[in-house]
Amino acid sequence: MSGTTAGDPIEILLAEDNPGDVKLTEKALESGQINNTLHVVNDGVEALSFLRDEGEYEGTPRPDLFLLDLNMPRMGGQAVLEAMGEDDDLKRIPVVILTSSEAEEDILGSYDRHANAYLTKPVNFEGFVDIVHRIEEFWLTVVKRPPR
Amino acid sequence: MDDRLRSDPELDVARTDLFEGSREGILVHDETGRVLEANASASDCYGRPVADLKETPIEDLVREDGAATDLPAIAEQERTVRWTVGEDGEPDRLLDVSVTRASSVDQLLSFATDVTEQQRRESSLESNQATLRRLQEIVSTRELTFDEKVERLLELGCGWLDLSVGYVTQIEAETQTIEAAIGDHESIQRGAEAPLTESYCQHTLATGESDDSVRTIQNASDAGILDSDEYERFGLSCYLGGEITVDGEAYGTVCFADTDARERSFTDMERTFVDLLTQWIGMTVEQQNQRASRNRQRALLESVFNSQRTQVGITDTEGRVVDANDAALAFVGKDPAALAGEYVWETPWFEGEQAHDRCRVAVERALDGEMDNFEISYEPADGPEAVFSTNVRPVIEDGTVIHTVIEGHEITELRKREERLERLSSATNELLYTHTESDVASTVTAIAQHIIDRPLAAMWSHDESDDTLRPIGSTAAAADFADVTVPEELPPMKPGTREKAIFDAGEAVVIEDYRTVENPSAPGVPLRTMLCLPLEDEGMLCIGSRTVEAFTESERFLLEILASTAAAALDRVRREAELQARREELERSNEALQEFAYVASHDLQEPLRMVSSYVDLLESEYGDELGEEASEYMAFAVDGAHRMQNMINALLQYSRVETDAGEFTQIAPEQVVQRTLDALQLRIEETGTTIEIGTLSPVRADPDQLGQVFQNLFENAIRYTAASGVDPHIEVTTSRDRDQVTFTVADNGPGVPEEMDDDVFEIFNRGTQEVEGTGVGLAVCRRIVRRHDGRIWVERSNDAGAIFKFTLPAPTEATA
Repeated sequence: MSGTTAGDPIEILLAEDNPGDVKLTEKALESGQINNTLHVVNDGVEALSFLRDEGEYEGTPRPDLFLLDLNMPRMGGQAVLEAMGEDDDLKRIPVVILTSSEAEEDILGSYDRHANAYLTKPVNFEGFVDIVHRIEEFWLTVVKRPPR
Repeated sequence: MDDRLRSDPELDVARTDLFEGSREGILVHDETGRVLEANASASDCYGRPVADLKETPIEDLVREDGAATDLPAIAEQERTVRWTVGEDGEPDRLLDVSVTRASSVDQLLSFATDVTEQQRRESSLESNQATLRRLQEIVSTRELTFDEKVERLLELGCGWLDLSVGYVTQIEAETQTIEAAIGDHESIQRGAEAPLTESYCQHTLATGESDDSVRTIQNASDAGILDSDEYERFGLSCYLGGEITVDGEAYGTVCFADTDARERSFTDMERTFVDLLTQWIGMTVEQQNQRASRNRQRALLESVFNSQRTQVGITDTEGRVVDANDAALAFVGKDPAALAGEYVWETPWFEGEQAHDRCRVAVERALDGEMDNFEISYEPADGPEAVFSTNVRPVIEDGTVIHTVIEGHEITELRKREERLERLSSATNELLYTHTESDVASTVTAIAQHIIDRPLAAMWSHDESDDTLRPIGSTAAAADFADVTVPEELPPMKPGTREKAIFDAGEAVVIEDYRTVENPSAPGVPLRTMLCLPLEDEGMLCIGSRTVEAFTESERFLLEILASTAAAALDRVRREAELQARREELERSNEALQEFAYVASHDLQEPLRMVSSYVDLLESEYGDELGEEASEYMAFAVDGAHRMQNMINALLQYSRVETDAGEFTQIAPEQVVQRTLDALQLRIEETGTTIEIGTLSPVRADPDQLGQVFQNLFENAIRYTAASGVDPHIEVTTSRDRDQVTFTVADNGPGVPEEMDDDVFEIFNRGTQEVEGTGVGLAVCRRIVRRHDGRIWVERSNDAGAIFKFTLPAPTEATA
């Protein structure tokens, strides 16, 4: 973890099955301004375990921001949103959907399940980095987040 | 003679003149009656010369025995006596004689007046009167038939007229037929025919046109007809004939004749007699004709009135029964007396409030001169319901209703047949809502059971794969009868069975007795008579019976209608199943396409993004370490990934034409075009594009999709035109033709290559590789236009440029 900002690192959870995208996200965050800790899970089941501090994720910190992909094995992003919505503890965690889907039903479905933002992954690396930086900027510095 | 006269010679001369000149026949007699002297008139009277008279005793002159010839007594009594005189062989003469005693001389004078003619006239008059009386008697004798009367009248005429032949003719079609005849003439006998031109009657008919309707011939030679055909044929020397007219038309003649000529001419009285006869015969024939026609009418009326099928009642002008026919009486089991005088609506024929009231209304209408008709049904306690159609009509004479006639026809059978047909028809409608073969079969067999009361009905469907008829349904009774639990277990009709052969022949067949059939499909089933109705190529309907019995015409008729309906239903069900299968297949393929589009939008983009992102990352982190050539390769890789992604997006757009389709509404295209131009504002400004929009006809379309069409067409026009180095100019116009609107979008670009006209609308086909584009825009346009039942095509203009045209439905009248 590297960053130019001191203090407690911001906890970010990334649910993403594509290692390429995980790597790109890591790269983008590395190049960002904010001191953060990135936790990665590869599907929705793992994501919920992480959020609920269960199993192998026992003792993991509660994330300040949750970057959620929609298309994942075992359990997709929409199902994760649904489960979080039904959980009073989890529903306050800010969720940003980061996906390659531009399908309307995905966008609407995500907002219906109280996603905080919906972003599509840009095609090239520069665009991707830009998007991640904007997320950092907005959600981690501009926005007043719910207390942990 | 007087002495004084005798003594005076002058007086003597005068006396002699007086004596000779007297018109009376004067005889001078002696006391014994012997004739002494006779004058000339006496000669005439007694028919003898004066010389012969002289010295003849008076007794010898008078012919009849016992005549009064005692002259002195006659003189004494101053009587007039009538003597019949004349010699033998001469006609009698009648004389009225008075006698005077000459004074002073023992002589007697007799003065005779010839009254022969007078007497004849008198007796003729008597005879006429007697004849007329007799005529009157004959015609008024009730006991005699017409023919007998005619015969007697002819006899009367012949006797009176002293002619040997009397006859009546009827003349028709130039032929004279003797209807009645008396006398021995061989050609004049009842039934004899002769051409009119050879008959005496031809002239009689001709005389009928003049006032004198009677023709007379006294003597053939005098009449100058000895050379004529009539004389040649009949040889009648004298003839008296009159024309009979019936209803103003010549009918025939009444004639009296003789082969001998007549001495005297026919008297007026004789003519009148014939005239009377013709009139009487004419009138009688007329009456007979009328009576015959009346009788015919009456017979006809009687037969109608007494028809077994029609019940007839007649009322007076108050609606009271005056008569009823046997059928009507039998129906209510009453005798006429029991009903006469009752109001017809109070009679048992119209029992029940409804029938009573309806009948009364109808009779009142009839009494107003109108016809009425109604139907009533009887439900006798001991029998089946009977339905009657009742007509009530007025009988009008001289503009006044004098009776009403009430006719009832039983129409129970008719109604029953109509009901069956109606039930068949409504059951046939039910068939429209069947969707499987087994629904069709159970409906059809149920119809057969209900409508014609044949519980053993079953249906088979033809399976082409093994050319076998398979059971698809039956009535429950039929399944029970064949001892199966469900109809599908009934025996199939395999090739080689009798039933299959009937199906193959395609004609309905009645199997009289199933037990005698060779190769039955169901040998164990105790069927007897069975009607097999092939349902065209679709299957077969079989109606069976436990006993040997016939199917009536009416049953067969209904069943054949049912069979053809069943065949149509099976055909429809099969087609529907095929259609449904195809629809499902289409839906599956459409779903697959949408699935693909979704997959494309997600899963295909992922690897692409990886390719382009990591090539980027590679360049940004290791670009310096790689050579210029490597950078170029990487640029190619990135560009390829970009294009691939555009194509995927295009494909997605293409698939969304169906998945994201909106409702059709009536829209003004100008607004849609304007929104499109707003969206393209940047491109338009960049390229210096000018756009000209005409007055556009309203259409019925999905507004978002129409916008998509315009956008794609405009983008193409701008892209290709700008690429050719020209400032793009686009014109949009419409033309309306009845129920569709044709849009034209024309540009000033290079146009569409000729060889590509239709290909441009294929997906991923592009006008040129040099111009950026996905090759999906026009394909999307075509998909959208087709979804609106329109078509799109490209036209070429003379001054280059592309002209795209497409049609959309015009608003319907209601919404226009």
